[in-house]
Amino acid sequence: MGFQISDIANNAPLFTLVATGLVVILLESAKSGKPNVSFIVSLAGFILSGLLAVGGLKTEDVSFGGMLMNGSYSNFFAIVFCLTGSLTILISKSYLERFGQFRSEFYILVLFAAMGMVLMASANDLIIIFLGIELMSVSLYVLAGFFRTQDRSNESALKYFLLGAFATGFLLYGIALVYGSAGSTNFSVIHNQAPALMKNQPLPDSVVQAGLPDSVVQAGLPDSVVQAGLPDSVVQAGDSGLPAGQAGLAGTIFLLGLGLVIVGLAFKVAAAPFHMWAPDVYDGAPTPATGFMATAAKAAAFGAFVSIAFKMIGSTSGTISNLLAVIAAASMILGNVIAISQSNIKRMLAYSSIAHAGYMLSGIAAANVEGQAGVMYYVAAYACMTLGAFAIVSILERDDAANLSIDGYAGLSAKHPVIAAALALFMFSLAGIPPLAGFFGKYYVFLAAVKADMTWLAIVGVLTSLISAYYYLRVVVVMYFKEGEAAVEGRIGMSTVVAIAVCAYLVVQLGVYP
Amino acid sequence: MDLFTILFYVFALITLGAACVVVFSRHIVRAAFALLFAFFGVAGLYVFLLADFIAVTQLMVYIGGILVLIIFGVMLTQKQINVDIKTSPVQTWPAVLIVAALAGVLIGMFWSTDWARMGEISTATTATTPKLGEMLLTTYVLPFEVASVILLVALVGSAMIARRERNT
Amino acid sequence: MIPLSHYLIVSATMFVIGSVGVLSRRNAIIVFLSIELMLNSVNLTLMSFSSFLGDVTGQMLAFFVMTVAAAEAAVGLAIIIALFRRKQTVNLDEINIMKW
Repeated sequence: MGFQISDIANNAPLFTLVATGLVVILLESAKSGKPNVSFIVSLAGFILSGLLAVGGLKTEDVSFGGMLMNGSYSNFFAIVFCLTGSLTILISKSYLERFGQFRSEFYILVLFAAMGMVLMASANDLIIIFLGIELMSVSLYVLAGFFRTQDRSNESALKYFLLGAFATGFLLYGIALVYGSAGSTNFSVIHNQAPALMKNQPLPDSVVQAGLPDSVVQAGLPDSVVQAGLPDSVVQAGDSGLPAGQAGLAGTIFLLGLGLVIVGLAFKVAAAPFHMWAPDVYDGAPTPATGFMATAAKAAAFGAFVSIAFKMIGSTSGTISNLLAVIAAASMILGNVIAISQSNIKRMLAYSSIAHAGYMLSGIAAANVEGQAGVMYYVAAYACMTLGAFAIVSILERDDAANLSIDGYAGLSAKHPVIAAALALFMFSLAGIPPLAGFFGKYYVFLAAVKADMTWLAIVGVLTSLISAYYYLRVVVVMYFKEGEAAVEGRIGMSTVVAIAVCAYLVVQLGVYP
Repeated sequence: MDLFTILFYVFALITLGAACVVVFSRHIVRAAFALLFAFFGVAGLYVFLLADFIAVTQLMVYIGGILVLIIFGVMLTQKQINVDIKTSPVQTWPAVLIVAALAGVLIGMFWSTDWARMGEISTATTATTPKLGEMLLTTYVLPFEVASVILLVALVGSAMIARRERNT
Repeated sequence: MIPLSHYLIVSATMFVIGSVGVLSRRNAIIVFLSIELMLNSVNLTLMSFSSFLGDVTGQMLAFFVMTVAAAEAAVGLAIIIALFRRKQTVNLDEINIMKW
């Protein structure tokens, strides 16, 4: 039951990230003020961890007494997190130097946030989901407020913190209700009980759940000492403590708990109507941190979402599926329509990320194998293209956070043709123009929705993608066909260029060979 | 109504009354001290649930740690203490409606569920401290370590954000 | 003997009071206090289920919730203090470079 050495080996990517984080902290305290060293060490840690994750793609195992589920799924997400983490670090170097905030804490926080994300994706227990989310969120609150002398950054951190903690409250209350109705927080146990709990909802007189040690639950009077001596196994075996005859209401509590968990996670992926924090927080946070939040954090929340939908609930019930479909449709419509009116590029990308959350959610709502695969593909594609776009925004951003308006990009193609071409590529991909990665992501997700008899959702998706093409292409039009003097402040950092190149390569690569 | 029952309701009332003061008080210091009573009431309820370890932890972590931290926060931002906080009715009313609906569903649901099999507090969980300690280092060793990493991140992060500008 | 539903109703009421506070108050510290109330009510729910189920998992989870609440409190107050140092206000209505 306890832990074994093999558990560490199975979770090598996770432990590499922790170890790197600790090493960076030690290095920082040993000789303070050498952020360059931290930069290199963290980058190496991310790459090593990503390679270990690639190596672990084949093994399927449960570790830490059923707390974690390792396998192709968790390792796939680990690769995405390591990729986005290392790209974020590459982007951040010249950006932070330009703002005079080049400090090691940034890397420590990114590393630990990535650790939380890996935990979320490999979780097999609600406790781990919760702790992973918190580890990620606490790091991100600080990253959002990293420019502590900037009002915008501070405000963004405060807003993110308050709404994030509020969402955590809902998530936890949901977890508590699920625990109370299912009697466990472990995915496998809940998975076994979910069908009974769900089916019982309309029919109160239901299948009696066998194997309940009645004596343990019932006979326990407060002053009886006899029961206290029971072996652990008996106590642990008490599955659902609810009376089978009343499982109808337990089913309601279970569903309500799931609903609250979904609300909590929808906050984290910034899906409508729980999106209101995203534009402000994305706008105020330092751009590399925003990129990290918009890609890795969102991917992690989807990792948890998919785990809960497929590993915990299993055959998603109609109610949950419909709830997800409504959230998905609302996000697609709201995100895309509001994005049209945005003049600030970071806010535009924030609304676009809300819309993309909607596309990905429709894959989860479809609740079939195609949906799961589609979401996984989409997460990777979305991460590359959005992070690339934020990398370019970070190059163009000036000291006082000016020059974030889309009109400021006029004439970029004349001055910096390569950067303009890269941004155009990301915009085309985000708009879903074939043969780029963004197109296939949408294609797979909508196909899954159609297969699950949710054609209306796919239609909403296609229509809103058409709307989205307008504002993505407007950026391209402004860059290429408008006179203006977009200028890059100072020298473009080598590392940022590398990051953009990697993103662009992956966007094309994932598109051409899906 | 035996003494036990009466005490339960006293603690429940302390908790909920203090919670109301926290939320509706116009005075931050008063709200912070009301939170003390809310935490204390919850700790009392834990005792009714025969959860000795968590009750003590509640007192130590919440009252000894978090509340002291909050009062420091209040003191450091003290210019605001006496400001009247206006709440705009536009935002309040939809919020109240949604929350009232949630409250109705939750309470109705808990009320109407017949918890026949969970009618009594099980003694399987009494004398919790040794068992919790053992489980923290066996089954729950991973969450335990993750929790320590969270605390480490909070330490690094809050020290970084709250310290004054470096004189460089 | 107090039935489980009473514990649950107390905690649900507390949760709801906390959410009202978050949604209606505009002072960052009070909003934060309300969130603490919500987390406490979650813990109470967990503990009641745990005791009545005779299963320790709930207590374990409540223990982790407390740890995390402490970490969040530290980070949250650091953010509030950093903001206050710049703006001399913790009132969310006056923090209006960006729309709330």
